[in-house]
Parts: sequence; structure tokens; C-alpha cells
Amino acid sequence: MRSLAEAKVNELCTITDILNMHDGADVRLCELGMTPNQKIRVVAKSLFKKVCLVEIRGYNLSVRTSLLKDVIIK
Amino acid sequence: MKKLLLVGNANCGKTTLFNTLTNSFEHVGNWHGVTIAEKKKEFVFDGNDFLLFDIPGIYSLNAFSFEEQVAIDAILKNKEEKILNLCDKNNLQRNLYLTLCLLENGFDTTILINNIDKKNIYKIDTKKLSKMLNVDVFEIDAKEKENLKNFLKNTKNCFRNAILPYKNNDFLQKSIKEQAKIRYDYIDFLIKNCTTKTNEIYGKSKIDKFVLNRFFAIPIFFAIMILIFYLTFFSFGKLLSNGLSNLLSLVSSSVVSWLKGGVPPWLASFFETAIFGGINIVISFLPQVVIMFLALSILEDSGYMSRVAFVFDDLLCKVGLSGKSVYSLLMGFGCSTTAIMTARTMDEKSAKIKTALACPYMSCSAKIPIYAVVGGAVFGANNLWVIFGLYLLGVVVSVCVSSILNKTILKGKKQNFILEFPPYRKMSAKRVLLVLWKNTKDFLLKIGSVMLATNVIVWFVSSFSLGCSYVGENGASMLQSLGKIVAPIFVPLGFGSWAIACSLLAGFVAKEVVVSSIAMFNKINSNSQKLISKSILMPSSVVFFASKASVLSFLVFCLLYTPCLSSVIMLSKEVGKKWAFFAVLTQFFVAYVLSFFVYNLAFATEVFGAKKVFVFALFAGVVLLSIYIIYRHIKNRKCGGRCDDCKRGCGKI
Repeated sequence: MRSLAEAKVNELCTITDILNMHDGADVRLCELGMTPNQKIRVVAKSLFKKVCLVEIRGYNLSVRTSLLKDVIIK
Repeated sequence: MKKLLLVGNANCGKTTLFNTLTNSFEHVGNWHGVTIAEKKKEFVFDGNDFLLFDIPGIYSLNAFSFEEQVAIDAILKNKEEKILNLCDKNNLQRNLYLTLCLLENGFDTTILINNIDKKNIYKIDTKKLSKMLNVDVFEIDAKEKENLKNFLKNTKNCFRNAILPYKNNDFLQKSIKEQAKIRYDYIDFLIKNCTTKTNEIYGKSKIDKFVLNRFFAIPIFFAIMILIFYLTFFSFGKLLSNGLSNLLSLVSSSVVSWLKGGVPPWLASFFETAIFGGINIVISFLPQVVIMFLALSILEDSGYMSRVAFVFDDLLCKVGLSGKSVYSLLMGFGCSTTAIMTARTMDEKSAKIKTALACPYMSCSAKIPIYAVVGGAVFGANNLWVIFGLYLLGVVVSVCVSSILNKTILKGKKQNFILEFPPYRKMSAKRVLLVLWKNTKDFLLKIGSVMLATNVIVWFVSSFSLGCSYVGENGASMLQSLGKIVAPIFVPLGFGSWAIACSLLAGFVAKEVVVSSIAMFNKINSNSQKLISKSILMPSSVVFFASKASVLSFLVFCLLYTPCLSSVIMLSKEVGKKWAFFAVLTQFFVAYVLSFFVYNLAFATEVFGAKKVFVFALFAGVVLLSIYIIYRHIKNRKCGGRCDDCKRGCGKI
């Protein structure tokens, strides 16, 4: 079991679970399409790797890496 | 009158549709959160009156930011009215999520599928989708009025209950995350049955390989900014500005010479100094101001702003801001008042206050005339680097102030940076003309109202004595008396004359007034920038700068001091009167301290030479760094005692 924050650039993964996050960020990520069994690809990472650009459901979304630590993938 | 609410995801073309239907010119852009407040306007179609509401973009009926709350409140306030749910055709999966949320809650919804980019990532069978959901579905192009007739004719259709097979008691008892999964499963089912999809990714571009590259992204951003400054202040902008200046000079000199023969001296003086000497000089900077706004609009419309937010979030999260603050800060290069308003897109209150307080430190376009006239007088061709340095200083100071606030009185929760990437878009010729027209109009209106009124007041108090008698050019005017009281405050900064103090006081109303006041005080009755630049170096002038050090200090002070009146009003509206007052005081303090530092550093360089000052600065830097390291070491050391008895609460052992 590992998190999306650990995925490498261009790696295609499948979301297995989204853990609870502060301020309901987990709900927002689910509403934006990050649901279990959904395919997701890391497209780019910022200079200090604190933000990731991911490709999900046919569009691109930038998310802070600290949030992606709670997105579990396989 | 029938009410219609435009509801949809951010950046799906709601304001474009609003503008097309109501013939308005509301601000649009290729960026999340351009619309931050509710707008409404009436329009007539086929003899029927409609009231159309444009609200900020949302992704569901749960609010995660201030502007999303505005949108949801507007929907709930008008829950009996017709909702026009706009969906971006090329990002249909995510857009239909909101549609399902609206239909589940029983809103009277019509789905409008907007082909904003004229791409065909999805080919949609709208009739089938309409049948499956039991709601009206229309494919539109929000920019074309002709193809909007279809859905407008159908807005009187009776309300039908939507078909949502997954909505049962079991669904309603599930958590929000589980409900989201069920909705997306149903969307996948709809997409599979009603559309054909290509493999293209919405918002993906080959350019991003370079623009988002970990090592090239920041240099590319700085290169773009230098290019904008070069076009604004030198090549193109300067050429146009000089042309306009010559033209206005010709007109004003003929009018003044004609006036001098037939009107009283005080009236001639009024036209000569307040109107032609003050206002004209600022009008001649119109091309440069408009070019700066156009450049910012091009960045905004292209979709590059989201990329900049992604690149800079790394650095901004350390000072309690997020990548989303970049948009507000960059807007600050245009106008601080607008920039403060965009801070509403922040998810959290302390981040909103920090962003709003950081915006006025950015160098707004109203300061362009000050840099060009005062900086141009002594730095000549090197003024580009001085101007770039000032813009950079504004950014650095705003980040430092946010950092200090974040560590002291505005300790906020950690920001959740989640931002969608829009596709790159070209700016249409119509949009270029609109931006040029709108900014020209706004600039001239500001000059015709606020600046004219301020100039008349400044002219009156500088031409009449306390006994209200006309004192002419060399008498003791009301302003001179006031200026002499205030001026000593600025002596340590290198520009302690009463006239400079008064021009800075007048600049509180609008920053453009600083240059027009200088022109007025120096009795420049032409609007030639060169003439004003020359006059501030002549010891016989009222406004006179003795050295490069005092000019540099003055520019730094103008960059950072108290925001203009409209910005203070906006701050008070957005973050409260207490924070607006705080901004006025802190900005004056920050400007004063930095100007003092810059003046003394520049003065020392002039007297002792650059090498000696550099060595001294290096030595001082090393000493300060050593003190800081020792302080950190003492603060963080493990005390070796027992935590049970200790009151320090460090938790180190």
C-alpha cells in the first residue's frame, strides 16, 4: 500500500482509498473525480515537489503533495 | 419577469454567455474564479423579459471558498427559479457531477453543453442524454447569440422530475464520499451511452513540458515579466507615450497662449497648472498603462496563470499563502483595488486577509508615471533595471510581510491547494479591442473625476494663502504652510522639501496625482515628460532632488507607502475596517524603514564608493547571520532537564 504522493512522474495508478483529510479536502477531491478504482496519472511535480499535477477523468488537476499522501493507490 | 440562474463549474463560460445574452462587457478570463460576486441584468427575448444571474463557479453544493459560498447562497435564495446549468463540452465527466447534484435536489434545471474551445473531445447525443435524465439538454456556443435561441424558447417548459436511478434511501444514508463514487459511476454510464470520446486530455499541452519543467519554469516566468516591462516602459509603450505627449503638448500650448490674453491671472494659472500641467502629463502615460493591462489580460486569457500558480505554490505555502494568491498578486501590477477583491477565491479566512494585505505592496500601474518621470530623470537608459528592481522589491516585500503575519498575528491553518488546469487559449481580436477600450475608458474616467478634483484642490491650496487671497507663484500658500509642518518627517529619507511631502500627501487619493502635483509645483505648463524630469534636477525648482540616492529613496517610498483611497475602501469592505487601518499604518512604516535604508546605502555608495560599501554590507551580513544561527541554536537546544518540572513546553525531551 502506498500513497499517490510517492508515485513517479508519468506513472499510471489506480486509486484504492481516500483517507480523511483536514477541512474536508478529501470530499473536494472525491467531488473532482478522485474516487476508488479510478485511474490516475502523475503528469508533473513542482520544483520542491510540494505540488503535483495529476491527470484524472480526462482533465488536469494540480494538488498539494501533502494532500496526496492520503490518497492510497495500487 | 422570469429569473434565470447561470450555474456551472469554474471557467466553463458562464460570464461569456451572460455577456452574449445581456450585451454586457463583464470581465472574463481563462482562470478559476474570475467571477467572484453575483451579477444580474435584464434582457428581452421574443417579447419576454428575463432577469439573468451570473454567479461564481462551483463543483458541487458544498462550499470550499468564500466565492463558492456566494454562489450556493444565490442558488438557495432562488430555488424556485430556472437554473441554466452550463457544462463544458470538453470536460463533460466532471461538469455532469454538479448537474446530478442539482437534479438530486429538485432544482428546475436545463443543461447547456457549451463547446467553448470548439474541440470535439466528446461527441454528444443530446436527445439521448435528455431522455435518460428527463431534462432539456442543448448544445450551444456561448459566444454566438444565434444558436442560443433554441434553449431560450424552451425556458417556459414545465418542470419535470429528473430520472436518477441511483437515488434511493440507501444512497441518501451513505457518506458524501460514497455518494460521489455512485454519482461518478452513473456519469460513466451516461457518457458510455450518450457520447463518443477521443483520448485527448482537456487542458493538456506540449508547451507544458517546458512551462512546468522543474528547473525552467521560474526562469521562463521572469523572462516573460521582463519582456512585459520592456514593452511597457521602453520600446513600444515609450514610443506611443512620447507621441501622445507631443500631441497633447501642441494642443495645450495653443490653448494656454489663447487664454492668457483674455482671462484673470488666477484663472489662467488654473488652466496652465492644474489642467494642462497636471492632468495632461498623466494622460500621456495612457499607452503604457493600457499595455500593462493588456499584457496581464493576455496572461490571464492564455491559461498561463494556473501554471504560474502551480510553479509558485512551493514557495508561497511557506509564507502562509497558496498558489491561488499568485493571481491576486499579479493583478496587483494592474490595479490594487481589483487585486484585493480577487482575494475572495482563497479557501481560508487568514489566507484571504494575508493575500489582500499583500496586494497593495505590488507596484500598480498608477505608479508608472512616477517611475518614468522621476526615475527617468537620473537613471536614463538604466531606468529599465531600476523599474524591474522596484517591481521585484514590491514582490519581495509583499511575501515578507505575509510571512511575518503568518508567524505572528495571522497564524492560519494549512492551505489546501487544489486547482484545475484550463487549456491554453488564444485571445481573440474582439477581446483585445475590448480590453484596450475598457482600460482606456477607466483610466480617462479616473483622471476626469478623482484626479481632476484632487488637482483642483491641490491647485487651490497651493495658489491661495490662509486668508484666501491669490498668492501666485512665489507666495506663502496654504499648502506650503501645511507642507512645512509635514516635511521634516521625510528629511531622514533624503527628500525633506514641503512640495515633495505635499505631492505624497495628495498621492493618497490616487498615486497618479504624485506626478501631476510635481508638475504643478514646478509650474510646468507643458505636458512634456522630459521637461518635468529636467525640472526635478534643478536646484531652483520647488520639487528638487539633490542626489541619485534621494531619487531612489523617493521611488521606494512611492512603491510601498500607504495604499490609495480606493484600495483602502476595498480593503475595509473585504477584510474589515480594522485590517484596512492596519494596512495604512504598516505600509507607511515599511515604506519609511526601507526608504531610510535605501537612502543611506545609496548615499554611502555615492560617498565611499561601491566596493567599500559592498565589503561593509558583506561584513554586516555575516555578523547578522552569525547572531541568527547562535539564537536558533540556543532556542532549539535540548535543555537536559525533565519535562515534568519544566515550564518551557518545548517538548524536546
